[in-house]
Amino acid sequence: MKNKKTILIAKNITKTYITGSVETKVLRGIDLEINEGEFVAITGRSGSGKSTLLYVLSLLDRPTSGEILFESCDTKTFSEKMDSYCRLHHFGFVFQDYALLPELTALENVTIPMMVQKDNWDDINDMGEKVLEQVGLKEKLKNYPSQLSGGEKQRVAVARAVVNNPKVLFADEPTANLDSKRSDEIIGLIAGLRKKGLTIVLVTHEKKYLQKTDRVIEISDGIIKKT
Amino acid sequence: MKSFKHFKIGFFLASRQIKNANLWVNILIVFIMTVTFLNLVFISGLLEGLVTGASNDSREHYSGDLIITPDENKINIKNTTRLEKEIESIPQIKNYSIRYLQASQIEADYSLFSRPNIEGNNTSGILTGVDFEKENQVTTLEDFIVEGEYVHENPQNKILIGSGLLAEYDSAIEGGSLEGVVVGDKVKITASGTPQEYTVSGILKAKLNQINNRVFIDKQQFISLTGRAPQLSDEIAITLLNPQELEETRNILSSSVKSSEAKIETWRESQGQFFEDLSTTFTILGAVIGAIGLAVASVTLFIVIFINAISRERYIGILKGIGVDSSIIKYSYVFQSIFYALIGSAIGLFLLYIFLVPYFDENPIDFPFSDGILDVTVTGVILRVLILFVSSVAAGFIPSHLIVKKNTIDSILGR
Repeated sequence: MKNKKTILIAKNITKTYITGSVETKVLRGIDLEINEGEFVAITGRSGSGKSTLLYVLSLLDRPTSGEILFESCDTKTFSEKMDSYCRLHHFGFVFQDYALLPELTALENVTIPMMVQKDNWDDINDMGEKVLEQVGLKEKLKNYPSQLSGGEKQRVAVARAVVNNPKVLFADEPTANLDSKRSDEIIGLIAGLRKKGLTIVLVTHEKKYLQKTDRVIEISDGIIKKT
Repeated sequence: MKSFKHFKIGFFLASRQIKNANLWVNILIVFIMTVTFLNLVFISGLLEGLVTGASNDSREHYSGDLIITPDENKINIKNTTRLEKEIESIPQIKNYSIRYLQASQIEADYSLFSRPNIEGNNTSGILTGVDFEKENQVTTLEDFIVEGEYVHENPQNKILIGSGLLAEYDSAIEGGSLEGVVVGDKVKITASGTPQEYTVSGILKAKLNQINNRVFIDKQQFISLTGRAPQLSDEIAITLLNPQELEETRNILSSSVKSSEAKIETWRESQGQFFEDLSTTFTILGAVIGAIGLAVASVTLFIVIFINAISRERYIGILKGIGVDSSIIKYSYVFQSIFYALIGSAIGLFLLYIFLVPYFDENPIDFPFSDGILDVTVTGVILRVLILFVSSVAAGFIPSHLIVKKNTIDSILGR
C-alpha cells in the first residue's frame, strides 16, 4: 500500500457553519491522505462531521480553512467550473437517498454524465445499458426512479457514479435507506469496484462493513480520533 | 462545439421536465402565455383598428383615393368643367364626384313659427350639391340611408339630410338641430340669402361628419339656389381602378389642378396630421397596455419557473454535484420558458387569425367615430412574438441563475 500514489490529501481542514450568531465548528483540523486504489471508510457518530469531510474531500463543498490536494493539485485555486470538471471526470458519487432525477429513466440517469463528458453520443446508450447490466438492472432500463425499489435505485446511483470511469468514488451512507439484504448487496457492489483500481471513500456508521475496507478513519467532534 | 453540446443537453433536460410535469401546470402556463400574446396583439390591434377604421371610412365614403380641394387661401376650385374633362380622359380613374358646398340655414315647421315671439325650428348645415349617381359611385352614399330613399331620379326639390342635423339622431349638435323632421317633411333651405322649399327624401347616418352634417342636393338645384357658377366647385373626390397608382394619377392631374387654383391630395394626406397623431397616440397607448400585460406575464412566468426551480433545487444540486455544467441547467429552464412562450404564441396566432380577425371584420365594434376592427399586421405580430420570446428567456434565465448560484451541497441537502 505504501508504494501507491497518494491521490487525495487533506491538510488541516476546518469547516465552520455560521447560522445567525451561532457558530458551529464541524471539522476542527483534519489531516488525511488517501492513496490510489485504497478503500477507506470514514465512520463516527451522527453529527461527528464524517459526511461534511466527504463533501469537502469531493469538492462538493469548500473548507473554511486548510487545503485539499487532488493528484497534487491544490483545489483552493480551482474555480467553480474546475470543481465541476473534476467531479464530472474524476469523481463519482453515491448519496444515501439515491439522488436520482425523477423525470429521467434509469438509463437516462446513468447516461447524463456521459452526455456532458463526451462529444460523441453514439455509444452512450450502449455503455449505459452495459453498466446497468453489470449492476443487475438490465430489465429496468426504461423504468423511472418511482418505478424502482430502494435497492434498485441505489444500484442505478452506483451505475451513474462509475459510468465515467472516475478515479475516486465517494459514497455517503449508501445503505442508510436500505434493508440488510439490499445493504449487503450495495456494499458488495461498491467493494467489487476496487478490482478496477477505483479509490473508494465510504462514509458509514455500520460496523459490519468496515472490515471490507483497507482503512477506517474514525471521526469524533470534527477531529480524527483513530485511523 | 461545447456550447452546442450544452444546448443539446439543456434541451434534453427541458423536454424531460416538461414531459413529466403536471399536465394542469403545463396547461395553465400555456394558457397564461396565450392570453399574454393575445393581450399584446389584441389591445394594440383594436386601438389601431379604431383609427384605421375611421381612416378607411374617410377614404371610402368621403375623399376617395384622391381629392381635389381649393388651394390655400382660395375659396373655390376654378375651371371645373375643364378639370372634369381632364379627369374623364385619364384611364386610371374609375369614378369621380364634383361637390359644391355652401353654408346654409335649414328650417322646419316654418309656417308655424312664422308667428311672432315663437322660436323657430332651424339649424345650420353644409349644403352639398352633387350628382347623386356619381356621388354614390364614389362614396356609396346610398348605404348610409337609414330612413327614406336615395335620390336616383327626378331630383327636383329633393334633399338627403345628415342625421347630425336632426335632434332625433344627434341632440348634442352645437347651434341646435331640427326637431321632429321625418322623411317626406318639407324644409326650407336658405343659402346666399335665397330660401327654397325641399322635401326630405332620406336621412343619412354615418360615422363621418362630412355626411352627418351635410344636406345633399342635386348639383343643378344647388346652382339654381345659390347662383354659384358651375365652374366654381369645392371638392372633387376621385376613385382609381388601381389604388396603387395614386402618385402616377396625381402627377397626370397636377398641372390642370394647379391652373384651377386647387390642390390634389391623396386620401392619407387629406386626413391630415390629426389621423397620424391619433394613430401614434393609440399605438403608444396600445404599447403601454401591452407592456403592462407583458410585465404581468413575465412576472407570472418568472414566479412559475422560480417555484419550479425552487421545488427542484435538490435536483439542480444533484446535477451540479455529478458535474453537469451550470450553463446546461440554466439552458434547460430557458428552453422550458421558450417552449411555453412558443406554444402560447402558436395557440394565440391560431385564435387570432382563425377566430378573432375574421370575427371583428364581420362584426366591427360600433364606436361613435368608426367601426372598430382588429388591425393586426404580420410585422406587428412577429414583433410581439419576439417580445414574448425575449421576455420568456429572461423569465427562465433569472430564476434558474439564482438557484444555480447556490452552494451545491446546500442545494442537495435542502439547506
